Amino acid sequence: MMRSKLVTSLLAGPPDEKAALCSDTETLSRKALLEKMALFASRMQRLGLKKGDRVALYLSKTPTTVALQLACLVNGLVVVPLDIRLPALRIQAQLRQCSPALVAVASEQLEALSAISDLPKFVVDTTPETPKPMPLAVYHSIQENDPAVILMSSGSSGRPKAITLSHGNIFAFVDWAIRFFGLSADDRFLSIAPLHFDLSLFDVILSQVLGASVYLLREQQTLFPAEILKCLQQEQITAVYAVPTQYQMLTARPGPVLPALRHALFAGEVLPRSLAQLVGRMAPNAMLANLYGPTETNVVSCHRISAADLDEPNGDVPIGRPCDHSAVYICDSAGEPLAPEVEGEICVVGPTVMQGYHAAPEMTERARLPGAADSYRTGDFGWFDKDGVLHFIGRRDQRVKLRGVLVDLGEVEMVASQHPDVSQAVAEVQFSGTFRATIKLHLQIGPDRQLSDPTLVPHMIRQQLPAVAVPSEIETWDFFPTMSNGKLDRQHILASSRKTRETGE
Amino acid sequence: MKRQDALNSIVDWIKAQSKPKFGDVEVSPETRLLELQLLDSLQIMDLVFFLEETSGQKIALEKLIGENFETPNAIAALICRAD
Repeated sequence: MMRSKLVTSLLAGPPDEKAALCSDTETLSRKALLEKMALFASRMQRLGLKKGDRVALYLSKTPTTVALQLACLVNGLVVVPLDIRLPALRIQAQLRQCSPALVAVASEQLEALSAISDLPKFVVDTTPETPKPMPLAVYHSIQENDPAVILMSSGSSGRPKAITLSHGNIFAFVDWAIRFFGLSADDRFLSIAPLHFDLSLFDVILSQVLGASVYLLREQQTLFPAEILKCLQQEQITAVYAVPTQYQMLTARPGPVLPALRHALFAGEVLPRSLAQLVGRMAPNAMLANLYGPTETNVVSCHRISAADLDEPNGDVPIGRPCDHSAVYICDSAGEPLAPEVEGEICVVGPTVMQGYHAAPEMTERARLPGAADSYRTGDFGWFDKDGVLHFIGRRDQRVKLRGVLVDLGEVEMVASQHPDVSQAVAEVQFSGTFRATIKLHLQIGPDRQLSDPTLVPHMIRQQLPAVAVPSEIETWDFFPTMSNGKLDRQHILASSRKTRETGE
Repeated sequence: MKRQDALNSIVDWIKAQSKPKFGDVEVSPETRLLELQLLDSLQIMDLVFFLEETSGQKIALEKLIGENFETPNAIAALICRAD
């Protein structure tokens, strides 16, 4: 039977007693993992799922959840990990967009899920009535272009984007990372990012392609630096891939040195050199690297942090040279490549670039360079220096990343404008200190008027958008200033409230 | 720092912090902060700085674990125990 390289390598290791997936409450050996995958696969087979059907995971991150994810992958089912902390309206919008055949859920969450969705449920912790089949059967042939995972992201119109990654997309990233960093079955991975973040493809999929073990932190554990550090020490973790904010938490106060850590990888946010220095001291034997790429392309450039980088205390770490699997161009607005040292939009062509946005062909088409199906215009801006190293500038649209979560300010404004007293809304990101970025909302409500219910706007946003999108400050205006052509004078609105601004992604 | 004073300032701080996101929430000494997800990771770090400022003492890294932040009472015990 035809299998993708990803499936072949996931199934290649021997079914031995080596720990594959661990957490503080559950450990699955490689053998137990394969048995669990077989069980899930046959249960889903009996439910009549066909290749290409989507299975949404309304589950917290546990070894069992990851086993289900892998069982779907090796059987050609498309995994859609959901963020169970999102408001019900948001989950409903995501389920509408990706239209899964099943939603997987734990029995303790079944009631909560049933209240927001009437899609068929797959309760993962019910005892199956039939004996477990062995060995793991693969029911469908799977090709590199077949979809594997859908990751949900924000869209400006209020409609979520469903980013579809194929087996080939994921394998191209995994294969590059294993070669570039020299990772092996002896590495021990720590999974901090939730499964609906692209960073988890490294933690849970790459580790299992290698036959290595990965320790899965529960969401609550990731809130507390001492819990993460304890795990890094006790489990002798060798590879961590996380957003800079997470490393900032770990290094905010004096802590243990981690001699076992060999790879400390950063992605998802701008990395200040000062933070890289702190991490270098915490992990003196680690290779530090800054990885770049939106979810739509996964990692397409990488900067290996050198001693020279760490000698310079100010500024940010560059995002490095293009990975050997992809071509990265700086383009003008027409999609034409620009000369070195000229600023432009970062565009990517290569095998890691997403298949497309699920059920949104026009949106997919708009995101491509003309005539290149494996291309993506990131909307991020940057420039190549004389040495071919890519530097990140920021975005020129309304999308911002807050703590690794992509938020569309236009979407925040749209939700705020639904308030009956609000005629127009402008959202901005406020920075304070090095690692706190929050949203400030400006609302136009007309002269001599007050918001009838000041908590209603944050409440409406909380019901529809991720928690990081909820504003921490709201300023009301009689009228927004306009420019001579009648357009909204955004700069004036933002400047009027701006006191100090230290960084500006 | 007196336990009751510490508790009051912690409850006030949490109410003020959660107000923009959750509106006026009832916070009692036994409110299950982590189960309700009233605070995110950055707010927990801010809370630690706030506790250190108001109590005038450093909180050791190994104290920064979930069980010490489950309720306002647990957090108050964290800074009053260190006397």
